[in-house]
Amino acid sequence: MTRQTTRCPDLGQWRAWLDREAGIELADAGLHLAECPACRTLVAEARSSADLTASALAVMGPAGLPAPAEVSFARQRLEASRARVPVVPALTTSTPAPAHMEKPPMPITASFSRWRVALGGLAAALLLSLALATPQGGAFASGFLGLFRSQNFTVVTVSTQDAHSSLLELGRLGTVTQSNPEASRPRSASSLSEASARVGFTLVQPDPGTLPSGMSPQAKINTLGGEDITFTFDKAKAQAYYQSIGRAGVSLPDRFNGASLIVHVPTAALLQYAAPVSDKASTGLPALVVGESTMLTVETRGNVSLDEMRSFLLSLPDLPTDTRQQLERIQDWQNTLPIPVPAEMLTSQQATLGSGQLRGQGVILSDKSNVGSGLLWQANGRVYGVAGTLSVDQLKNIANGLR
Amino acid sequence: MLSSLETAQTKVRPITRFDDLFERLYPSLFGLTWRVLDDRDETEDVLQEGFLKLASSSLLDQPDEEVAAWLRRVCLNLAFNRLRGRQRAQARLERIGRLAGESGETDPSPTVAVLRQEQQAHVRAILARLPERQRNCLLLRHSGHSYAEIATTLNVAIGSVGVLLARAERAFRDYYEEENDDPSDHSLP
Repeated sequence: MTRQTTRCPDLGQWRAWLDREAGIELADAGLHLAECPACRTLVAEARSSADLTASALAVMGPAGLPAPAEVSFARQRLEASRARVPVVPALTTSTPAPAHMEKPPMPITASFSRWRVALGGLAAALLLSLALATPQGGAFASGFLGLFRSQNFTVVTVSTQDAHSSLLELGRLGTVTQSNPEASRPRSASSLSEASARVGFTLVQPDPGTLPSGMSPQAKINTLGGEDITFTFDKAKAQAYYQSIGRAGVSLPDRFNGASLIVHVPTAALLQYAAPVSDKASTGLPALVVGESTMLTVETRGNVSLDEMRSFLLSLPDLPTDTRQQLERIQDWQNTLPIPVPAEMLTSQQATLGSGQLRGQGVILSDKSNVGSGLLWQANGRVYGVAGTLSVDQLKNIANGLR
Repeated sequence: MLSSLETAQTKVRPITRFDDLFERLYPSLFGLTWRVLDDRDETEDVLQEGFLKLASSSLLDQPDEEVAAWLRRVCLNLAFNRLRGRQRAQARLERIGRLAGESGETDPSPTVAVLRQEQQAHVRAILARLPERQRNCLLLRHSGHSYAEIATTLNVAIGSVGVLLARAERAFRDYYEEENDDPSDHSLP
């Protein structure tokens, strides 16, 4: 289409031109419009209709697209629906996912509403924690980031976008192995004493009087085995990775090559309580989960100390600055477990939780949509978690009644 | 303990092509499907169903853009099937109002929320009057998809997208102006 061109572009070409999509060179279009009243009218009408439609449809979009943690949970939910295993956010006991999708689809579970809303915040955050603490998703980050003995907790606010930082996906910097992959498969226990024998300490349970009205005090009890997760730094692999993202100049000292960080994951028990029968929104998923374990510990192997390994990992380039600063500010880092919390989804608060001998320092996490909450604290060498679709006050009451 | 438990619970699972597609396509499919359903739970259900269909299909051998186009078609169809199964728009609005009340949400500006709901119902009613292809073309374009993506999703030549879009927008505008003369009629078909 030039000054010499007599043939007018059609409506579709003009519409594509308005979207800068294809077909008409901008300069030529301007020339043609200047000398063609018919096309000017056509373009003006097309533009007007497009503007009105865009304006009208703008009200139809969601407030925001799902964050990576929410996508991650949706993926887990898909697996769960295929395997007919309910996914409970946070302290979940889902069956390990198959490596590929060869089975016929299962019917969709109809209403996950309450839990699903919780997933938008609390659970997504806790799943992010999971992602940060696992070999595949990112492993272990919480391991090396200081949980050398998880006697204390501190909240480290992160953006869900940070979940993809390479530092949080240590598999890119070396190898990650599990000593006992079967440990993540929950084992059902018929009684609290049986579960206590498995985990090696006396488990506690909520006082039935503190449970919400109508909730059965009969819990489904599962235990999880302990295992060691080992990250071994591989200088060549890390170099190749940093080169691939344009950071070839990262300093990677030789003596770290082959050094390992070992996270000793303790055995744990989960007590799951179903929602009251009267709760019409209930889907049969646990409305309350109580988790108990011993401390998680970390050590290094090779020619580096824990402190050196920590400093080295914190110096790697693509840890978000804000996260790095928060981690560096943890003074008692050898005894403090950082809990990664996406601030856009959750509120968090340090608090003293539990009562009597189970009273200790911890963290309250609340989903911003007020659907779910979780408490996490340590006392006497044990770690306790209470989470569910209940208010913080209800959970605190349950935590205080653990015996 | 959450982290420690979660560490214990998670298995090493290889990243499959399905995982990769899920992670990359889920957000945009969410945005597209939301525009039809305006409901998080229902949108998530549709996406779950769509990806389950994908898992049981032989499409995973196809190029990414074809899988993405197929998923967009499936999600749009599933979403509109759900929408057709609902009661009239007014009943839906009432239900939303009740749910919001039950959940104890306190909107700082309820008037704005109501106006927005009315606008959405209005737009949805107009979309429902358009031929399927025009309606889907509008939804795709105005949720940010390129002409190439629209073409593969609607199974049309890329050169036809412009005219399809222009005619859809013109029809939308005509209905919009017509309905503005009679704003009480916001019902779905």
